[in-house]
Formats: sequence, structure tokens, C-alpha cells
Amino acid sequence: MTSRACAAIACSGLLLGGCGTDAKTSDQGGAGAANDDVHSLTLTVGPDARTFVDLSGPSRVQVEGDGSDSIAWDLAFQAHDIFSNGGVSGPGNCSAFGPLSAPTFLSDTVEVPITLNDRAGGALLEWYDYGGNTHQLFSRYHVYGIRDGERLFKLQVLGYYGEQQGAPVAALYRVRYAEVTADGVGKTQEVVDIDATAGGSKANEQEPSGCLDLDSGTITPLLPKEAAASSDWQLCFRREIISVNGGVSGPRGMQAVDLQAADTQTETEQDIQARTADSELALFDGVDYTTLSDSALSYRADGVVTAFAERWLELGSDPLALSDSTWWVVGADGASKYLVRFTDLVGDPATEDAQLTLETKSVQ
Amino acid sequence: MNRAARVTALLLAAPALLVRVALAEDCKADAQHPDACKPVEVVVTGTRTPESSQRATVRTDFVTRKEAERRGATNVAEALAGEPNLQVNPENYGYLGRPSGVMIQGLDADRVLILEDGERVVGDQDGVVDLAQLPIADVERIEYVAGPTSSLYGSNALGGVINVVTAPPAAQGPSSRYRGELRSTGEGLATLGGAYRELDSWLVLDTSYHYRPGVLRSSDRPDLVAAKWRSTLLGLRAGTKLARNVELKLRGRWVRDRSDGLESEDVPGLGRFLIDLPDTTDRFLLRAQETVLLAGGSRIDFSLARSWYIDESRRDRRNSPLDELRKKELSNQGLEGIVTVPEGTRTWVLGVRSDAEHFEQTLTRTLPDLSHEGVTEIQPRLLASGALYAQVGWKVTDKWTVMPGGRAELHDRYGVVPAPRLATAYQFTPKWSARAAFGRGFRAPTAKEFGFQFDHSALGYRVLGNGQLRPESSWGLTADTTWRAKEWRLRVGGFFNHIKDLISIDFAPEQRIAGVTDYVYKNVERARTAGGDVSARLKVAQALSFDAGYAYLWTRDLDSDEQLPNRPPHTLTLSALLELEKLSATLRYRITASAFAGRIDEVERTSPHYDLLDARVSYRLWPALSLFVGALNITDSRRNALEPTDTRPVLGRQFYFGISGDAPAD
Repeated sequence: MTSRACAAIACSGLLLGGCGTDAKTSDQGGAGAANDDVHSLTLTVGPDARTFVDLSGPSRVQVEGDGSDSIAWDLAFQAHDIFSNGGVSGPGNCSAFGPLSAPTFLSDTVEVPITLNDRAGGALLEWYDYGGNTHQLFSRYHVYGIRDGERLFKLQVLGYYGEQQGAPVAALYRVRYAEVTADGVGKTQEVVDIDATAGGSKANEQEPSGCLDLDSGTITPLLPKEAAASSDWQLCFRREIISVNGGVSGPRGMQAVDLQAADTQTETEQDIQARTADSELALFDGVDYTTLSDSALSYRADGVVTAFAERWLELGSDPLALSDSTWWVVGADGASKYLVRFTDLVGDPATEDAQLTLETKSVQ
Repeated sequence: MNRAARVTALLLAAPALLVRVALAEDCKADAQHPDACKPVEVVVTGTRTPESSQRATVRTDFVTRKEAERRGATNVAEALAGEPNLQVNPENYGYLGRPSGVMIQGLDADRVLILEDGERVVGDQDGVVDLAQLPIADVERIEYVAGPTSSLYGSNALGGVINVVTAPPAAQGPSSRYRGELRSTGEGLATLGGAYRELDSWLVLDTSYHYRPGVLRSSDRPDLVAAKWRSTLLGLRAGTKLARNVELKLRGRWVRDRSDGLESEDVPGLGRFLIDLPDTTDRFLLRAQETVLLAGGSRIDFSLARSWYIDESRRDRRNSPLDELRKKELSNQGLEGIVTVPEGTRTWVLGVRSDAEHFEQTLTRTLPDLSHEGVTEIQPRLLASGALYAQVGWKVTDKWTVMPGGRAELHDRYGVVPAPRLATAYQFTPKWSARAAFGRGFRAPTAKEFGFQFDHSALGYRVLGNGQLRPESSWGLTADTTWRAKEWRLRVGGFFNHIKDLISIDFAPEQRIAGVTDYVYKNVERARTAGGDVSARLKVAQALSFDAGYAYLWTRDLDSDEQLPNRPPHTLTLSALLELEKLSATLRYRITASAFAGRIDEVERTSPHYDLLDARVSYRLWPALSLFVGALNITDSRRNALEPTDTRPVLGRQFYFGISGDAPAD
């Protein structure tokens, strides 16, 4: 069990990253072909609309809108994104895991450590490092730029744990932040015990998130549906997820950027665990208006994070190529299981209508 | 009367009950056979019929109480730890709190059946029975059989069977047995047994107290790698003859173990929290055995036993009311009847048995609002089983014995499990014999594996039971050949096991929720184990003897195509014993090879090899008083506490001294 647990932990980090874009409708066609247990389907995938696929055929299906009310589809394709019908993308029970090695597609049974369904996330998605030995979340102490209309803030997450009745409790955040203007940096605010426990580790939709108003420093408990419709907050904390009120998370139009995003891949667990709120204060204090207003920064709103992210493509290749990998997908019915691989791509679906060929196979 | 006839007569007359050993003695001097007056070791665990250990159809090894004392053993685990073909190492189970589990033929935990006087020992930690919690105060000897033995004992006997055996007092009138020992680590043991025997009626009172201080994991942290532990035993055994041909034995025993662990938790941003881990276990055993001796050497044995295991473990946070209390209650009731019928060259054994096991586990947490949350981790559950088994020992010729047998066990959850076995022995010459056994072993899923709901979300995972589990099963072949003479003995053995449907915790394809992963028990694994052993005994003088043993073990997980973890491929033991009239000295040396320990982050890890040297000198001051002094782990092999795959001993070099004796002298 230990080694498998470690594998799961190692894999979980790979799954976090990448965001989807807004969805529109389209009317593209598809053609299927079968070869024993392997079935092939060619689709037209474009930048402006989602192309929906039922993996049981597989076949392309017509679905209204972004598919958020339909369980008739399993996967939806748009630009460089592949959405699955579960989580924030749809009402189904779809989830996925990957990338698996290309030869995995030849297997009849596949063992995967975990599966993920689509969820909201953005610049603060990787604010923590998961300590595999202690099962604890360690803040990376990155500084985040937050853009709220014309206003700019900087934010640093100081901890995920608070103390109640003399015992540590997970999902009680501690953060510091300050408004940053051309005239200087405002007073640093520190907020402790932001309650993101959401009823415990089995958080459900009926438990509130802790939503922070950066102006007053007050915390308002909001259910996920309430938060998604409210402009009265700027940051929402729910278990390990920190949302910014924009994109798929809320209507306020906010965006954020991780100023140390480039360091994420090279930071070691040892490096991160050695950091403290005191040792990283200088990093926070060093961020000023010039830093946050740098036009090179790529502020972004929260989007949909999928198991596929953009790892099914060899981004940067010219012409755009597919990665040689296999994906394990649970259908929208929550029971059917498939291996999926992509075998041919003509064109770049982010800029034009491209032809994508995929193969599917039912597995145990 | 020739020797074989004498031995046969002796065996039939042995006051054996369901499972019984005896140290028999035939003192009718025989000039042609000077060894005739030597004690004949009789074992029964391998075949359920009393046989000479040297000529038993199924190989049955044993450690006597005297040998256990020579090894400086204070419990069953330490007594068995010196056997070359057994692995008894608590460091293999550090993740379970270091229970001293035993491994036979590469199989361990609940794939090895642990018996006390033929009855299952209840209470384990994830399948591992802690042999260190079985005192030796009332133990006469410990027998073990390697290889699948489910044809006789049912579930769990895949790797083999360990049988801890008591015996009635040998002396008529009052007698006593005592032992007091102190170790340089602060560990202390005191045992006292008193008995009275008048003809065939006897009464024994066994008591013991054992204390072991805690051991720090490392010098810079307060965590204990071994909890402070103390154990108290109170036992009462009695036997009588109700009629000329009816014997009755009764046994009651209570053992209380109390441990006090300590762990710390470093929480990012908050600092260090201390958690006390007090744990109290009460184990009760009640047993009645009746034997009816019939004409022609036939007999009927009845046994009714009930065991309780009640454990309360806490996680008491210092300076906080947010604690946890886990209660585990397990009971087992077994009823068994055996008919043994000698019929010329054949001996029939027919048995019927029923078991009812009850298990439940609850967890109570105090929440931040000081309310209490109760969780039933294992629903109260009754697992019932019934079994029929039969075996015939057929002496085909004077030299050749064949022993087919089988058991059909009906479990209320998944039906009948058959377990056949065929054993045979051949005496090539008076000095050379060979034997082999081929049979099936199985392990029924436990109540925990069926219905566990272990919510450890705070640490990122849950473990869930599975009602669809099937029994694990194995086929195994065990064989050995022995050459013996008056001064020496050489034995060579080998085995092979194929195990399928191994139950293991696997990932469920479920969503990881807020950092929590679910693990589910499944029949997912297959494995093979094989190996062999060579042992030699040489008596160079009346008072001096040497023993040497080497065991080789090969294991393979057929799914990952890797070795099974923590199975040392090579084990070598050497010992020398000097026994003079009043002085006894023992030197023991054991080398355990490096072993594959698993993978961490896909990197293969191994546990380092290590060696242990023990020495002991005992001097009989008076007939009923001996003084002894000894040293354990003189080589000071010690684990690196920061290396999770290091399975060397937690304790380094230790010294001990004490007194022991029997009155009247043994």
C-alpha cells in the first residue's frame, strides 16, 4: 500500500494545472470506425465551440450550449481543452486520469491511483506543496498579484492550519495581503483562521466556503452556488482550493497571477518546508506597483481545470502535434470505463477548425 | 518389545488431548539401544496425532521452554526469533506499532495461524498477532509447522501454524516455577507459577508481570518508536479424571497489556503538538477439554473455547480536549470434536468444528465544539463457519507412511472452501528418512476486510472494506530429508507455494476529495514463494553441542514481478551449547541478509543486512535456584530511526541477569 500511496501522491501533483476557456456552441461533424475492440472517431474541433463525444460508440453527439445540463456526452473538445462531464463542466459522473504511457492502451485492465473530474481553478491552484510523508499542505509562500478592476493587491498564503482547542485543524487559512497603488503599498493586513473547513474533508455543496473581502478583511461564509453568483467577495477558500472572483468562480471579473510561477517546477519539498512566514516576509515586501503592473505578467481569471489540461498536446511543436499517451476515462454514467488515445491531428484547434482522430476502448 | 513398538505404545498412551505434546520417557534399559532411555519428543501439530518428532509424517519443529530460556526469551516472539526458517521481527511492522509477527515460508500476518493449545489466538493488528504479547510463563513448548496446513486447521494456515503448548505439572504434590530478570534497558520480568498434583488431578496457577520502557525514535524528538509497555498475566489450569477413561482439562487466563506511546506532530506554521497514545488490551480465555478413551486405543476429544479481545486505544492531545478513543472488541467461540481410531496399520482422525467470530470497532472523536462524534468503523459483525475434516495415517509398509486428509469449511459469507493435503514419509534406512506434504491453504477475509470504514481523512486517506471478497488460497509443497546418527543430525528441506487472490488494499477508482484518497480491500494479488533450509546438529562431547542452520527464501509478487518486501533471502544461525552439571553456557549468532523493502517514489529500497550475537551463562546454585547472566545483540546492530525501510532492531546491545528455578528441581 505504501508504494502505491506514494505513487498516487506523486501523480496528484501532475494533475494540477491548466485551465479551460469559455465555451460556445458549434455544429461540427464526426465519423467513426471500428477495429475489434478499438473504435476510432474523427472529429472537427475548433476554437469557438465545444464538440461533444459519447465514448460508448464512440460518436459525436449534439448538445445545446456548453453541455452543463446534459448527461448525453462524456468528453467535449474545444481549442486545446478537453472537458469531461463531471464537476464544474457537467452534471455527469465523468472523471479521468492521465497521461498514461502509450502502450497502456493495449491493456485490458488498467489500475489508476485516482481520477479527477473538472473543477475551477486559477493562478492560486498550486499555492501549496503536498508533503507525502506527513500528508500536510505546505505553503510555497509565493506572492500573488490580484487584479480587481483597476485595483491591485498582493497576497501571500502563510498557512493552512489553525489551532482550535489546543489542536491543529486543517483548512484554517492564514494570509497576508496589501493593496498596491502607484503611490505605494498600503498597510499589510493579516487574516487568520479563515474557515475553509467546509464541514470537514468530506466537504459537500451544502457546506460554506470562507470568502474574504479584501477591503474590510471580513470573512463571509458562502455556499458554492452563492459564491458563484456574488460579487461581494474577492477570494474564497474551500479546503485546499483558493478561488478568485472571476471567470468560472464568480461574476466580479477578477484575475490573478503567481509571481513565482516559474519556480514551481524546480522547488524541492525540502526547500518549501524550510520556509516560514518570517523568512518569506521579504519576498512579500519586495513586491510593489512596478512589479504588479508589469505588462509581461499574465493575469488570468479562474477557469476549468481538467485532468487532460493541455498535456494531450505537444505544445510548442510546429505543426502542433499530439502527445503519445493514453487516458483513462470514466463515463458520465459513472460506471463505464474507457481508454482513450489521440492518433491524428490536422490543424491547430485553438486557431482553426482542426481534424482530430481519437481511439477508444472499453476496459474493466 | 522392540523400540518401535515401545514408541508406538508410548504414543498411544500419551495423555494427549486435542493438541498435546509430551516429553515421554521409556526407562526400560535396553543394552542394544542405549538411547532408549532418552526422552522422546512427541509432537502433534502437524498431523493432530502424537508422533515422535523425528519420525513425524509432517515435519514439526519446536522450541522447548528450556531452549527458550537459553535464548533469553521473555515471550513467544523472542523464543522463536532464533529459528533459521522463521522471521520474527517487529521492525517489519513498524507501521502497525511494531507487533512481533512471524513469517513462515515468506508468508506472514494472518497467513500464519497462531494457536494456543490448538485454539486460535484472537486479537491482531491488521492481521499480525503480536507474539511478544504471548507470555511464556505457562508455556511448555512451541511447535511450528511450515507450509499449508488448512486441511487440519482451516483458515489462515497458508504459510504455516504456530502452536503454543502448555502442559500439566510433572511432579506429584506441590511444585513451583519462577523466574526474575532485569535488563540493562530497564526491562524487567517476573513470573511465578504454583502447582499441586495428586495422581491424575492437578491445579496450576500462573502469574507474570513484564515491564518494558519506551524507546525514543531519535534523540531530537520526543516520539517513542517503542511504547512503554507492561503486561500482567493471571492464569489457572486444572485437570482431573472424571472416570477411569474420561479426562477433563479446564483453563482460564487473563492478560492485560498496557502501553503508553508518544508521538509528536509538527504542523506547518503552528509548531509541535504532543499526543499521548495510551492503549489497554484485555484478553480472556476460557476453555474446557474432555477426552474419552475408548477400547482399542480409540478416543474422542471435545473442546469448547471462548476468547475475548478488548482493546481501548486513545490519542490524547496534550493541553487539548480534542482526543480520539478507539474501541475494538473481538470474541471467538470454538467448538470441536475429534474422533481418533487406530485400525491396524491405519489411524483415522475425523473432526468437526464450528467457529463464531464477533468483531466491532468504534471511534469516538471530540470535536472543536466539544461535542462527540461517534463512528462505527466496523459494524458489529458475526462471522460463522463450520468444518468437517478427516485424515488417515496409513503405514503402508514398515518404512512408508501415507497420510491423505482434507477439510471442507463452510463460511456464512461465501460458501464452502475445500482444503486437501497429502503427506507421506519414507524411512530409507534407520538413519535416513524423507517426507513430503502437498496441500492447500486458505485465508478467509476478516470482518475488517469485509466491513472496514477507516476514515483517516485528516491524513489524506480512507480505508474501506469490501463485501465481495473471496478467500485467499494457496497450493504448497514442503519436503525434507534427514540423516541422523547418535552424534549428529543433518536435515535438508525445501518448499514452494503459489498464492492467489491475495487480499490487499487497493485504490478505488473514486474521486480524490479535498486531498483524501480512498483505498479498498480487493482480491488483487498473486505471489509465489520458494526456498529451502539446511540444518545440522553435532554433539562433539557429552556436554558440548553445536547447531547450524541456513534458510533461503525466494518470493515474487506476480503482478509487479518484484520480490515481496521485507523477506530476507538468506538467514544463517549458529549456536553452541555447553552443559555441565551445574553450568550451562550458550552462544548464538544469526545473520540476516539485506532484503528488498519496497519502493518509495519509484526508487527501490532495501533493508540492510545485520547480525546478532547473543550469549548466556547459567549456574545452578541450588537444585531449585539458578543464576543467569547474558547479553543480547552484542554486535549492537541498530536501526537508523530516520530510515523507514531499515528493519534492524530498535534496541542495541543489552545485558541481563536474573534467577530462575523449579521446585522440586526439574
